[in-house]
Amino acid sequence: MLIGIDLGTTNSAVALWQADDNGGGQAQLVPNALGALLTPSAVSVLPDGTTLVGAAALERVGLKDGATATSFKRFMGTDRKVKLGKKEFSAEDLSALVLMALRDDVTALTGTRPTEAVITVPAYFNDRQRKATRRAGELAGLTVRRLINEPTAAALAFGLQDKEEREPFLVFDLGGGTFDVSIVEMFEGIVEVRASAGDNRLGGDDFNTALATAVRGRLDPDGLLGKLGDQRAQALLLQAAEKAKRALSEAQETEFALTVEDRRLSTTVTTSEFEAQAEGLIKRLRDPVVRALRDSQIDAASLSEVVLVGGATRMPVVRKAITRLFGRFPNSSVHPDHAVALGAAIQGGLIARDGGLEEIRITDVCPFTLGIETAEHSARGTVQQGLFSPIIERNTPVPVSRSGLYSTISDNQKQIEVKIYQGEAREVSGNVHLGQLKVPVPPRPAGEVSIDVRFSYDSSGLLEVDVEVPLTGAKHNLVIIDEEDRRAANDLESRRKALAALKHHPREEAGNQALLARAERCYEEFLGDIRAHVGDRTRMFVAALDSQDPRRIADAAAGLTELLDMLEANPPL
Amino acid sequence: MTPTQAWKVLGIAKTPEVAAIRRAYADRLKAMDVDKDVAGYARLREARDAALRWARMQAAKPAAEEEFDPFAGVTPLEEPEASTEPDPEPSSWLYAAPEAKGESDPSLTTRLGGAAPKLDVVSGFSAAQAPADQAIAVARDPFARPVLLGLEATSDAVMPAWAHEQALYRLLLPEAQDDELPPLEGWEEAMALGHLKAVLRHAETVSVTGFDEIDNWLARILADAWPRSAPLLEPAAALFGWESERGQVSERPAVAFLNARLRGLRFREKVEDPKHPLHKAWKELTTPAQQGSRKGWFVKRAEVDQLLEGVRRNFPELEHHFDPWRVALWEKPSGSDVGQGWFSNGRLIAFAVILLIQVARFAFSDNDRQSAPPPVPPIELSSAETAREQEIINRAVTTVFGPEITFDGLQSLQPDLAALFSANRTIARSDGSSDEVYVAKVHDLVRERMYMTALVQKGQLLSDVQRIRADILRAARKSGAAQCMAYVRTRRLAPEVSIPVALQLRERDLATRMLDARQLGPPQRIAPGTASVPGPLVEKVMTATGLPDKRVSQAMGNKGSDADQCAVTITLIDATLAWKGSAKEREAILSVL
Repeated sequence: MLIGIDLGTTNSAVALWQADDNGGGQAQLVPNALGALLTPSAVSVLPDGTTLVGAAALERVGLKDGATATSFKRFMGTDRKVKLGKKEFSAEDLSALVLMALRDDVTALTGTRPTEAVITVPAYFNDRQRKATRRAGELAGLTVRRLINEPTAAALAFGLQDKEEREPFLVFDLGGGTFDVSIVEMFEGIVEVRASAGDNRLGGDDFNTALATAVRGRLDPDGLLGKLGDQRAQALLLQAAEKAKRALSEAQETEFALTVEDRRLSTTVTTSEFEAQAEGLIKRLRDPVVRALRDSQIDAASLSEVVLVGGATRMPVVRKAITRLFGRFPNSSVHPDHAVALGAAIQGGLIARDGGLEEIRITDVCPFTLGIETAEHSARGTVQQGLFSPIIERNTPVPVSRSGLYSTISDNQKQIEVKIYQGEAREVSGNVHLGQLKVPVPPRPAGEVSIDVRFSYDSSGLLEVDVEVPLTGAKHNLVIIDEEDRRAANDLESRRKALAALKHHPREEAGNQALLARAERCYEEFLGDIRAHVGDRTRMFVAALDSQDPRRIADAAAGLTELLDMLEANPPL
Repeated sequence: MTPTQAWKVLGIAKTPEVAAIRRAYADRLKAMDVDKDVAGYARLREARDAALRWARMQAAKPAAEEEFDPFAGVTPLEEPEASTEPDPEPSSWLYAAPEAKGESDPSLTTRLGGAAPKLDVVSGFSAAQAPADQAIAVARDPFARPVLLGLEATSDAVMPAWAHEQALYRLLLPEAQDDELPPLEGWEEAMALGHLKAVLRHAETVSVTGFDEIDNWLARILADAWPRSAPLLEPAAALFGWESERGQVSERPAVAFLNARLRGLRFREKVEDPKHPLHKAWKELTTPAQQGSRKGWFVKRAEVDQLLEGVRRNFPELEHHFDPWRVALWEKPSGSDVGQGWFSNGRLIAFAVILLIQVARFAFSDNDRQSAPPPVPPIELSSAETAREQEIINRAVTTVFGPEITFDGLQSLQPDLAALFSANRTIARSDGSSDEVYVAKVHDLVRERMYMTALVQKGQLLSDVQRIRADILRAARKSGAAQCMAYVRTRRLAPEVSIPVALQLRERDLATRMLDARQLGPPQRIAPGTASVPGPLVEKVMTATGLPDKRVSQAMGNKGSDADQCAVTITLIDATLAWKGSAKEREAILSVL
């Protein structure tokens, strides 16, 4: 079975293509154990070593012994590790745990365990980040049939709503941690991405950080948070900021509050203050939009729609900015949190040639420039090294094959080192190194030996480099697998085993576990009598769990849920 | 790809119907496995794009023909709304692709540029009827940007945004100013800043396309008016985020130029602070000197060297703050290759500016200071040495003009050029550069004057000069595309380029002819030039270079690889020279190549 997964910074979702009896079909989201369609991308390790994924993990993020990781997509493709309990986890490992949970949700719904997946990535993810995502899928025991770009997936879901022809429209995808802009056109069953641009360091999380940074001083004049240690203080602040940010979407002002070591800290924030704090971030939205429009040579006025995707586009401050950028109101007819996963499932259906899908072809672009390192004689006669010479320019339709001719720079040079980079900077130091190969050449005076470097980039994002030395006829070939990838491939099996060996919390108890985590969080948040009350009810619930009497458990859970709902809806001051 | 090939690839008969073209494309695409046939996919896309372009041109044709109607626009009596309806015709065409004249450019100057018809603030609305050939240019030019929306209604009732733009443009680039523009004076600066503020405020309220246009336009005029525009740079750069573009492959030429200036401004600010480690060296070099001045005391040689080297490497335009005499005093007598001749005296700034500005295809005078040659450290010469110097200068004259012309002849025909020959000799001697370097340098200067004069004179001369220039570029290309483009951008021929003898002779002939006509005077300041290239020429360039339209259009916009740009420049010169189209349009294109 082939499933579609949106592996997001804040939330993840999984969907399936389901053909119906009438020759049609549709993509459907799969609910998780709690019945929700979105699973928070959070992983927590309990003191006993059991791992939790999703809502339950997210509840634990600000707890004393929380040991919870969130937003790890932001360091995908890097060596950074997070320590949870006694173990260290990379972003790949953590993503794999989320993917496993999603996989199990599908197994629970359909009775068969899925083996293959289409996973979405931000269009502006670079090669390393993409490879790390692919490996995460493999660690979770899924064969990744294809990685597709999030805005492309969203466009697919949007386009299949009414199957109309569409003049170029723009997908504005502001997620929890990444920002993508794609310009897409649809006609005759072709989904054509004209250009993509983005900022893979900009998302809803940054708005939380901005808000938290702004209020921290007046919220906590005594510096209580400082005593908690950076990680926990930040977790508490961000949690409160997320809550305040949501509230500000509906009200002009709200309370920004959190509880530290039995003391409640609180302050008021207003929409205008939030907007002022967010201004810098809002400005950063413009650049990728301009780039995508420039690259596709499309004028903003001739776009047929501006389609919003990603939870962060719900913020009024972002909507206001979008309306101003495009001089019109955006289209919010797709569900900002669901469209990407649905699109991934549609892509899955297309790959599997499932029934109910007319043939649709998606043509995408390569959003980054690909090229090699060169040296040049400068105007002053010195040799300048480390220059980037593009071979495939950004936003070229893929698959594509392009070549460039390069020659030796020094006399009797015996080899040419072809270093392959991805990025937009004129100096390679600002770009991502993808790989290299050494090409021996016959010693001749400088400039007399040339090599032909051909880049072939296929539609699944694999880059192949062919180098030919016309003088000797020698040919060299390199399929770009970076060092990280090679190493990772070797120990993929052992890492998979290590992850599988972790104690996973049983899926059927996920609801109770989430409730328990929520109760724990509320216990830390509230004070005095209310706290005591929450504590009592929690103990009752734990006792019920221990009794293993389903009816008693259900009753206690209902009572506790009711109490927490009431307290959280009207927080007593 | 030619349209004929395109229809064949698509497998349909020629049709102006977009839907039919798309359907044919979709059918072909669905029938192929793109990953197995990458070249086929590229061909199919190219065919589709060519067919769509043709269809668009067809669709635009009738409109253009209507514009030709001699009676169109001569019916003012029937348009009484025109006077009461304030909603601007003018603003909408202000943003339209400008007419195909030498001084307009669809991709760069969509606003008030050299060719934008003069708009009077008072009578601006009435002056604003789009000339007919403007519309044709849009229709014919596949690379022209689509006609853009006008200004959003402005709330600024006192002065609409376009009037601020107009005022800013006039302040920065006043007309009839042949010399280098003086810095903005107090009130001018205040006014310019006020208008800039209004323009920036406006940019923030318009849609992203309008914002992008203002961004491009401002970058161009600020670069064009440099150094006059210096006080305006910081605020504009801050709003448009120009610095974040720095070092990117896609950094726009004008922005690259401004970013370099911005760093220079910042450095100057820092080094003028007495606490800066190089402040003493800066003071020393910027203090005016007279004949007989000595090096300042308490100034460390290492610091001066560091400053000079750093300024020359990073902020060449700052060197004009230095006193050439003092710089000469401190320069190492051995004349290490740092200076390479061009950077060794007060004229550096002119060269540096030309070097950078040329990238954006602007042209400045390089010889503003010609009338007052900078002081060069006097060196006593023996008579034998003087004879040798004479001999080298004569050799240079012969190389450039042929054996018939002597230095004395040059002096009588074009005294300022002769002065340039001897001044450069003195410089070459003082920094120890070789005779070949000297000869090559004056040769470049003469070539540059030939070129600049041709740009001003136009007519047959322009064709002659461009024909030779295309051949020089071809010769340069033999050494590599980088050498070819270096010549286009800096008008300096790389030493490794060898010019075939036949070409040398032709070049001499033309140079002598121009010298006889006294056409080799100091170059005049040339307004920023751009032109739109009609479809047939583009087709020709595409066939001749074998490049797809996207790369050709990129190359024409000074983007893309050197190889592409070089090939396109050469073939475009060739094609334009061979073209039988309107003489005016031909001239316009030749003027920007």
